Amino acid sequence: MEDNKELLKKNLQEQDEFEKNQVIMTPGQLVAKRFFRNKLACVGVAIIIVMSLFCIIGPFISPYGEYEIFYKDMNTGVEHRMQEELDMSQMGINVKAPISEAHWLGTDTDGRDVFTRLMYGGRISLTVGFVVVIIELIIGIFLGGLAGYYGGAVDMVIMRLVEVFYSLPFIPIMLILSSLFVGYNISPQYKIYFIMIVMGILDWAGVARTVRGQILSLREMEYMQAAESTGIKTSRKIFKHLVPNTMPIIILIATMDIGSVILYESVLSYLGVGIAWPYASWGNMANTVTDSIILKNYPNIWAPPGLLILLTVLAFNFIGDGMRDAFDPRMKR
Amino acid sequence: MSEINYVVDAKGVKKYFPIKSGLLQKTIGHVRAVDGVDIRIKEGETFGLVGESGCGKSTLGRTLLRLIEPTEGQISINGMDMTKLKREELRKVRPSMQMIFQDPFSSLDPRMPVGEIIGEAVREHGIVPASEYRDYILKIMEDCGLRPYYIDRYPHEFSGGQRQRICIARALALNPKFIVCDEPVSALDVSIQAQIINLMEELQEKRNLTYLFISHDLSVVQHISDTIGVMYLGSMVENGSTEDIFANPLHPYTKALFSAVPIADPDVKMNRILLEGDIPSPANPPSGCKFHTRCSQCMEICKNKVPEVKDMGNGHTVACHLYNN
Amino acid sequence: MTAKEQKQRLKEIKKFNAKKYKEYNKNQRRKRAPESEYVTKMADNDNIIEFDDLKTYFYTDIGTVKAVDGVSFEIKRGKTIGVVGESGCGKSVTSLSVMGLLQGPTGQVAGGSIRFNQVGKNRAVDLTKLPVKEYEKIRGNEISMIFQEPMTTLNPVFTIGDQLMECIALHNPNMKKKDIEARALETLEMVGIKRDGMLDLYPHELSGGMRQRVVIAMALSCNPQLIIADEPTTALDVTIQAQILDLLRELKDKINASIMLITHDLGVVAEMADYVVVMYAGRIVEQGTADDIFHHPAHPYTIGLMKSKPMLGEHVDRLYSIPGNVPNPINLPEHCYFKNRCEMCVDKCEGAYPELISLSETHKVSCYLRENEVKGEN
Repeated sequence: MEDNKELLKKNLQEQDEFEKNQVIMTPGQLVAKRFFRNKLACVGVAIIIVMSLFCIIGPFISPYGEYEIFYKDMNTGVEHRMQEELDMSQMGINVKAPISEAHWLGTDTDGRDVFTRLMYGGRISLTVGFVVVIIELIIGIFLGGLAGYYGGAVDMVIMRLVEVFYSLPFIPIMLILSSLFVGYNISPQYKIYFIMIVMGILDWAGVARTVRGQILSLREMEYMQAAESTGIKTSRKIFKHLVPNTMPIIILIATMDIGSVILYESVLSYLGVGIAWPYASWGNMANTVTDSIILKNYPNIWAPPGLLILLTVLAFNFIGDGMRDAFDPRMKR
Repeated sequence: MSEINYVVDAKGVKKYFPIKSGLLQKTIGHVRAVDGVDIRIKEGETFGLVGESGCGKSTLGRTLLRLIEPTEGQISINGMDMTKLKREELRKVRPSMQMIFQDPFSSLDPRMPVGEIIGEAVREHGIVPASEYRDYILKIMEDCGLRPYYIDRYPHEFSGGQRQRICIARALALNPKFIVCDEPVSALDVSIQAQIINLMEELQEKRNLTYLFISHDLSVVQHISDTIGVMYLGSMVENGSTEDIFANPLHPYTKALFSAVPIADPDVKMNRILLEGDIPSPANPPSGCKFHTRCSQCMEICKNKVPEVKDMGNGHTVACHLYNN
Repeated sequence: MTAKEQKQRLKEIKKFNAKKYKEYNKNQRRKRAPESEYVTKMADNDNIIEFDDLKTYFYTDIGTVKAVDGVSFEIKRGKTIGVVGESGCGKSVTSLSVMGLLQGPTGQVAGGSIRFNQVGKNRAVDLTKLPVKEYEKIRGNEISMIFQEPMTTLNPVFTIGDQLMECIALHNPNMKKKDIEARALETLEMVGIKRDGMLDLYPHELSGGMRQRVVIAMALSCNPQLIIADEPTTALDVTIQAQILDLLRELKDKINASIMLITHDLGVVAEMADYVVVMYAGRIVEQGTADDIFHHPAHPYTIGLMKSKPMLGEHVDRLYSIPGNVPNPINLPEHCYFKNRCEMCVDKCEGAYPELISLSETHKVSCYLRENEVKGEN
């Protein structure tokens, strides 16, 4: 029997050694692995990286400026740039130029290089996407967290507020605001900031509702009760237990929302109430399609911005889907 | 007799959960989860609380620790009047009373390494000086049968038994005197159950712990407890020492409960007292004795009058009209 | 292990898994399989189902999990067999393999066969090779399953009458509506809950015990040959569990079906089963009649399992406990899986995994300790 005990001890140690050498992964690594196994998600990431490079670095490489207008010598047909000394009586604006080596996607109705404007437009569209999402996250997490954690009357008030914001008609409000901007003569540059802030304020309700739901379900988890019973401080409970565990859902909302905000921004710009001339955005570039001649004969002017919107929004959705599967593998299939 | 030191002494504990309905969330009734329970636990003893799901045993455990605010009643733990403590005072005395939860999967934060889970509150309450902190955690882990290299691993890598050990370590690290164990082994496999029970008994001996052991598994309760309380629909129907209750169950519900446990022997033919029907809803409990709807020995009086708790000697109490004479 | 080695290993696993997934998907896409591929012969026509060296593997990111690894046993007609083991021992995966409910392509049957005796059609089929179309005819009809959670098994938006009758109508397309309803009522009577208006109730209006009875009624509704009950009473209270066990035992005599009872509770098995199979880490360690297993347990694991459960009415100071943990299911060692936790292990245990040896006609065990015991001497 003694012999057996010795052997057992040795065997248990052996198993222990074996387990010690197992591949170990943190929860974060597991999520990353599951995410990158998803091919569509990888495609999404690739698209976003390429798009960001195109919009951020592209303008430095492009020889043209954002508002630069090209002229054409009406007699010779030679193209001239704005900064050259020109005899304006001989010059016409080089509008709707076809695709050429100088203009990879031609020029638009105002004689500006489409390819270059795509870069600047993307800059604005992506910036709007990120900034609006950050604003809505700040408001949404704060109010949603308050509602979820404290419950009771606080929850009641915040949730009613959420419902009010849910029932606000987005497009009409933007139309009204836009005419206000025009009425008060606000410069296009400030208009961009205003639009971002307004979109953020109008959009936080969804975030707040999701965060509140998540916190309510987390609060019921036994580890939260365990944290309560070990008597740790409320602040620690919130920042060490609640926040890290709501992170996945917050990241998920953020990715999905960037896509939809970009889409909204382009809708607004398309309607002419968003980003205004002379600034470029993918939405107001696609606006030109309202002219039936352009629609028919110059797809090089309106198709590229439309395509970029499609690609970007699609990419963000791919990433979002991939993240959801990675965070919660049970949701899949 | 007044020499006996009661760690837990609670009288007439009630917890009613309001049922709300309608737009303005008006209270239309109450779920009487715990409906006037007296409970006393001696130092160093294990009190086994048995009953079926929904009988309020978990709620009672949490109410004692004020994880749930009691509706009514007096609760004193380690001589402190729990119901009168303020929030911050309560937080300060938390370490001396701990809880072990049923589900070892949801009771550990998935985003924290084991060492942090166990040590978080130790640091918060300053149980040991910072310089000894790591050694202290390792010591506790060793006591609970956890390997030192687990300290940096995450909960998802562990099996149920090991997770439960981590939960025990978390509770133990705070040097508690009283631990509420809410079905600590029912989510575990049989061979692991035995390990955890042995571990808990060992620790009790070493550290003079007092347990409130909540379980629906009678064989486990019988093994670990010194005193047993049987609950039905929020009331304690029988209470007494383990030997008394198992040798001589008095309440018809206790008898039925005992006879329903399957025995791991194919030759034993059970003489079952089968209970008809299901447990009534605690929102609308039957009048009189709450058990009368399922009782085989129900009398006329049971339907109208709530039975009084009667001492049958040796601290064995029962609440049943059968024993009124 | 260095990070580089770890990465290398994960890469290899990924490559291997990709190959397996591809094979699986290719197989799944095949619409029709010739009958010759899946019709087989039973080893013994008295059996309803025969597991022959069944292997069910899960190809996960961190390695292959051999959830069921070479399991062979059979169930006789009209008998109840209890499959016991701890969580993760492969008992549930065995039942899912029978029902064809494995989550592919991660989980696949990697080898062996499950022969099912289609008594009505007078033929036997190999369930592991059965095409989906054929499977649908068998599932819920000739083989039915009772799950652990009665609440999640029933669809909350339909009345239990709808669900029962749908189940009957699906497998008996020629039946008239009136007959279907009669049959539904008949099955409810069988499980002891026939009452007026019962068919019009929704699942949430029933208690846990009643719901489980409805689930059992659904399983019975098509006169199955084999009922798989996966932890049917685990989610229920003791007094309700007693009711359901009594019901199952009664039904066992009434209907002529075999029951495969999967549970971790030795008490439940002792009450219900004629034969018992004990599984550990994906393999059968011991099998035999209830009497063999409960009165003459031979494998150290079975013995430990029995000893570690406190018995009502008996008092011990300290519970016996099997040391250690269930081994990690990935990369299991070559030797006996229980070796590392076994108190009776001998030098020979270092060798290959022990074969199943027969102690008597019914009693088989896989352990070197019993090698010398002559048949019947136990």
